[in-house]
Amino acid sequence: MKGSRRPVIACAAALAAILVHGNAPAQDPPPTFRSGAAAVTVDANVRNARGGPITGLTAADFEILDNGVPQRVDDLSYGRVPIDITVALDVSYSVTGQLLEQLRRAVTELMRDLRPEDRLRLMLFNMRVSRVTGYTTDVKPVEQAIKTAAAGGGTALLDAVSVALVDASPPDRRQLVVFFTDGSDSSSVTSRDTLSRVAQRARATLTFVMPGGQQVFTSFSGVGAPMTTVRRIGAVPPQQSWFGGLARETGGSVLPVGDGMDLTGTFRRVLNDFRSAYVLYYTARGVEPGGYHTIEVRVKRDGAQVQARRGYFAR
Amino acid sequence: VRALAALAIVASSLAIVAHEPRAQQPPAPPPQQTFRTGTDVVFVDVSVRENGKPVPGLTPDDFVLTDNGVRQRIEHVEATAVPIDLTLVMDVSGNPSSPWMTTKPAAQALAAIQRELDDVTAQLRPEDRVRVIAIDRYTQLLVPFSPPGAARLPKTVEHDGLSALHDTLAAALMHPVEPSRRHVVVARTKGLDTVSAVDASALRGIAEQADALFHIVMMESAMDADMALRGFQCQNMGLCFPTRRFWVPHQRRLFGGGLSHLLTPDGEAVAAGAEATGGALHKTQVILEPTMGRTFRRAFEDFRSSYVLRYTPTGVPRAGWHTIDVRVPGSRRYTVRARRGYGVDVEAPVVPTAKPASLDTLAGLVSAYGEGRYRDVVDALRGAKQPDRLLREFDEGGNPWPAEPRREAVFALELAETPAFSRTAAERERAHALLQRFAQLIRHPLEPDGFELRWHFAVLTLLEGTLRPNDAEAFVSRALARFPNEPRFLLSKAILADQRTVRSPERGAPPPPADAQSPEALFLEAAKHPPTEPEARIRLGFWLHRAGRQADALSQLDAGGATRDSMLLYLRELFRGHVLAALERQDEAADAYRTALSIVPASQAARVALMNTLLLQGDREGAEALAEQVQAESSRDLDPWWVYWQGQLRFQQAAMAALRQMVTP
Repeated sequence: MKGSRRPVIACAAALAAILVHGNAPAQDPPPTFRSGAAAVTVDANVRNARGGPITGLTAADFEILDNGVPQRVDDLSYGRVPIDITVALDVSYSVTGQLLEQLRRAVTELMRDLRPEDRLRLMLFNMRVSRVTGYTTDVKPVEQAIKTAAAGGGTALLDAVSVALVDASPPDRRQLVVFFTDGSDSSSVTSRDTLSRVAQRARATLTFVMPGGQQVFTSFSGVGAPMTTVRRIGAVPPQQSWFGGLARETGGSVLPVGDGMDLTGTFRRVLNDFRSAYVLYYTARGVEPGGYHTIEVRVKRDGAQVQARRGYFAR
Repeated sequence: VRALAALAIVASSLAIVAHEPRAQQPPAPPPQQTFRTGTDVVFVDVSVRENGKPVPGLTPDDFVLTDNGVRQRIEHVEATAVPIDLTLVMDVSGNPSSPWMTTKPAAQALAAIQRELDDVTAQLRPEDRVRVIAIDRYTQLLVPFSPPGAARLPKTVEHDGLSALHDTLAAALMHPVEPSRRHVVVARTKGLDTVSAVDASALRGIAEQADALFHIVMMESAMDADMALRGFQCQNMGLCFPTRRFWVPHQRRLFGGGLSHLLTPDGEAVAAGAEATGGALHKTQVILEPTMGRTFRRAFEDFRSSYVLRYTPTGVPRAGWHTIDVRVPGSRRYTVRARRGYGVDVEAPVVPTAKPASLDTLAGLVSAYGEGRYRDVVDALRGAKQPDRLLREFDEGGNPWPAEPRREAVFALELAETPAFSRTAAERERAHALLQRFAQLIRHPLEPDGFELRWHFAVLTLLEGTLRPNDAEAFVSRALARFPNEPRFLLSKAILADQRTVRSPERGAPPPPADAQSPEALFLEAAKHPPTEPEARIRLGFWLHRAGRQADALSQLDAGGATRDSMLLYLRELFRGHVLAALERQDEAADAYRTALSIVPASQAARVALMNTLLLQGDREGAEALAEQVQAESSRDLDPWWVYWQGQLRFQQAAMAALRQMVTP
């Protein structure tokens, strides 16, 4: 299988297998596809007007438009598919002292909230993008890596996001990518346009946790670009920023953290939101198979708000 | 004032010599011309001749010596056989009134020096040492003190420029003499000075206090040639002497014009200084012009046949100037020559031996820098908690190396580096103000020189790296005013213009200056020069790509220009990839990124760009493999793309190293 349709379709097929066989173990062989089957999965968060999750929905409660064409939801799952989380921390400025400790605590608490079948991996980036730990359920190496993180240099945020979105994850697992960053970028080779197109082809959900209102400073080591040409969120509300649009494209969001910096609570919220999503399965019908497909997900309940990826790319 | 300044220098140098033994606490310092409380011993060279021939066999009782008019008891007399330190001062300056004339090659000037050096060293003993100093616009130490057989001239010498005669002679005379050696200075000169800070009366004062035997040899043939040339220029070419150039503050002559070569008042002052040391000014005798070899031979013979009198001053105040008078009452026919006096500095308090100063303080940094601990200083400055405070102290404290303004200018650059990158505007402004001040101070009075060129380059590489193009603009303008065709400065101007085009999506780009030129025009200007053509075209290509002119961009990148700089080769392929991707030629773009990766195998940027391209082409496996490689890359090598926007910052360390080398004694 080779092609840009694979991320969504492969995941859909795997989920279909789970649905058919119950909670299939992760080590099951990857499913195959019948020719012409355009199976698609969509994660959808459904909340009421107060922001609380709406549970107990069935496939019949959902409406899905694929390129504007109504589709039949074949099935759904809720909270049963194992999760792979990639936590990416921006260490281009000084995440030392209290902030580093808060991050360490937030990530380790996040790991304790994971279910036995869930996993987490840690990525650090400044201008260099490095995977510090592979997928693991062991808190210790993650904790140690954050403790010893060295900050400095420029920032290749867009490159890091692109790498995190492209990086492989087994298709039978849901994938969440969480970036802790101030949104600065000075060293990326990836343009915004390119990253948007990459996001359309990604199967992961991308969420940004962004410190707001704090002093961001840099230290010059002679190699990295100081933050004078950086692209920062500035006065734009995070959700309305370009990053907000990028995150929404994947079904994710931007969560600002204020001066109080309750990082633990914020990370926990990210996980809970992701976990509380419905995974919808449908087979695209009545649409051209290739190219970019827009997706619109609705719920037949008054006041229900749906957060889902906006589309997918198929060959 | 000049005389005072020069004397202050002499005094301080003598004070250093005088106090050195105390600070070092040596076991038993050998006899020397230093003055310790109560037991100061003075040595005096005395030449006694009768009808030009040395008088041998004299004893202490034959001499009468007074110190400030008070007769002293001569403790010891010996015929001297101590080793000699010989300083040869060669005048290689040209005729400043005829700068349009073809100058002779450096090899020719060096050959003339070599002949005189050979002539002199043939007379030296193995235990003697010789050094060679040349007079031109600068005081050039051609050969440091070396044994006679090991004196080697450098491959080049600056010559045929203006003359810093007085400064060079002062520097030669101020050499501190080792106690067991004697110092002889023989200078051969046309007597013309144009650019010295030290004037003739100050030089006389320096000579009187110097512990050296000082001989001056007049280059009368050269003087006559100069005079004849000037006459020809005035009568036949309308270029009448003095042909002063505006930057020449004055011209001073030691010797008058005409056939008799009468001494000017300046010449008389310097001759008096030479005589005060026991030396002389040597003129043509009948038709025989003096040479260095013959002059030294005479001085050497004087030395070999002279007496060294030793006495401990008594009955006179210790500090201040001591006039010495030596006579040999036994015969009126004797000609007695001896130094006329010596100076004792006011005793300074004993400074206890201190621990090495902390590099947290300016004093500590200055001290370490003076010792050549550049790496330590740079590290300390980059980690300084209050770089602004160091700048302020430096501003207020004056030059820590009064005799080395260039070292101060390089140190100022070191100090300015960290504040130049500060996020605090006040700190950056102080750094810029310091650099602006030194940009004025380093200006060579006559014409831009190599040091100034390198200093400006180091400043520009630094400021390009701060990514504040508007702040750096004034510096590049100043550099180009001094060096209008320097390719690296032209490229710097283009880079700054390019930096101004970098837009933050939310904040916009910094407003350009009113007279800002387009980066395109500036890059094309820099591309006219072979040294900067490749980089200028690559940067122009990337600029055109960002401007949406992909065909023009590809043309510039392909035109390129020959280079073996792997960074430039890498960037060229990386940008070709971007341009080809924008032209929807994805396969070619991927190939360009692969080529870039082959040049810099650890490159993250090329790998990520290739990853994105493959993903957008539908090759997910290929993209995933590259994503894995990006995160697993263990090389700590710098991706050239990461410093692309910082212009020529990559040269900054080398530029600073070159400057440090230039100011290292």
